[in-house]
Amino acid sequence: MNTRHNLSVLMTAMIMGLRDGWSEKLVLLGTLMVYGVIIMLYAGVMRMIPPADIAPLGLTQSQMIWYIATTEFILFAAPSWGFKDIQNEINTEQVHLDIIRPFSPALLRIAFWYGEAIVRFCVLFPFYILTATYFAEAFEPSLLDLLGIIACAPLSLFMALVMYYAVGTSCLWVVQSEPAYWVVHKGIFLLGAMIWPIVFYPDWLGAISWFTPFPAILAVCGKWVLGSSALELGAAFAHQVVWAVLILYALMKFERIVLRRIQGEGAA
Amino acid sequence: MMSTLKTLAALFVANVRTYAIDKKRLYVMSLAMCLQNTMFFVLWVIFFNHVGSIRGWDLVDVTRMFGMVASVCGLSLFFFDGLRTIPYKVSSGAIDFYITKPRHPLPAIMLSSSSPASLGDVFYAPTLYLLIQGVLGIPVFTFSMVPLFLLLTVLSTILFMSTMCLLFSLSFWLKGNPRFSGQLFEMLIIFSCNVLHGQPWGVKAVVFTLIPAGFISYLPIELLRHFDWVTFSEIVLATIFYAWLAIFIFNKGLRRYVRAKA
Repeated sequence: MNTRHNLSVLMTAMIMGLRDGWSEKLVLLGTLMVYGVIIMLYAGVMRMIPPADIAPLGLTQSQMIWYIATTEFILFAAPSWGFKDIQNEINTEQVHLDIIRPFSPALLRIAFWYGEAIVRFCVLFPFYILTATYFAEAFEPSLLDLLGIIACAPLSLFMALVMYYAVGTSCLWVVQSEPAYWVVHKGIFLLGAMIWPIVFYPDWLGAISWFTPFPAILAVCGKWVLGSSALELGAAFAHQVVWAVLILYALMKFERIVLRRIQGEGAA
Repeated sequence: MMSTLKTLAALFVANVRTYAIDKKRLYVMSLAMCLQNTMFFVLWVIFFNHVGSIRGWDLVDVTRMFGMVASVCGLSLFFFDGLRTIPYKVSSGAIDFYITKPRHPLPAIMLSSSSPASLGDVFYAPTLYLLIQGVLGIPVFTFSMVPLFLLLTVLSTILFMSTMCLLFSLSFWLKGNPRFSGQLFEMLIIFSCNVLHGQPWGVKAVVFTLIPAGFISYLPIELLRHFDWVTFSEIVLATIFYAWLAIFIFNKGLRRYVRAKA
């Protein structure tokens, strides 16, 4: 099987994901509602911060609102509940049907989720712009910044989805996938700097976070609305590319371990 | 009345006994819940490291709020996690099992499941308070606050459960769509563990009506700061009203379900 064939298989899975994502209109509506509520709440908090407290960090209230609107936008675009499907398939042993196919089940699954993520990204994007502009009372990013966010988003989504896949398979070792999901999700919140930019963090925690893949998922996209320099943005993008490659490599290795576990012992 | 209480107690005991079979699950999930709560709480510690207070609310108030919400959420889901299963029961028709019994189905549905992770939430509040007060020396709590805290926790738990019942009963009209109700539940938790003090009127309008998180976390913490009878009465009245509303909406939905089946 050549690369062209592999790509067409992944494309087919992605199109199925696109259709699936679009068919769940009520879920999309719920996503918009929850997203809007979060931005409304945190915008309220950001507006209450005395400007003098954040001025030494080189931030304004408006930038902070745009920052969280951007990071939440990326987080919401990646469907996180798919890990439960993986867990369910492992527990019901349906997973055996997946692994007999001559194609990586992990890549197929991630391509399917990627299709869903594209739908969610497209639906959320205009809402993100409107919500952030409304609550920040300013249009903070330039057109170039928006293009930067759009350019960084594909890798961010890919890394988030790979993590959710790994979380789903964690039930092979731990009693259920949920504990891993909670920890990874809050890891994305905390080390990915979802609410406050990394400049808010103590130096040691900020340094630790850059040694994890989490900032590559959220903080890298958020940096575009903070008025960062070209050098900072370039370094952040390089960090994202490096982590994306490492995560893809880790996924390939991890999938072999998962397959061995499924064929050997099954769920924990 | 006594026989109803005995039945409910028996259902609860049956739920708890399931943990005896799989203690590992209980411990792992409780610990993971504590860990995720801590990770989220750290975000607020980072925030208050730079920002002294937001309109009078500081780390002490946020700590109290986190503890209270964790207790409320934990108690609700430990005893009454069955509420979250309403959409699945409606979509699969499993609710028929409950409505064919002579007693009202809601208590049995509420007690039909218990979340093992919720135990982590229940123990999170005292652990957090002890850590913050004992290790960091930040005065979060005094012993004189304990009775009021416990009373407010009970009232907030009833409110939280009532709101859960309302949100998940929507599935009678939404063809049992579990994910949408789940998203609304997520909104309830987001509202409950966020700083509502000083928020604009639009947010206040939502948190005191549609998603009554204001009565669950904000007003109780305000009461712990300065007790006043008017605010306390508001919480009691809101608890009674939302409990009534939850039962009313559930009954409406159930009648609709039965009519559709007939």
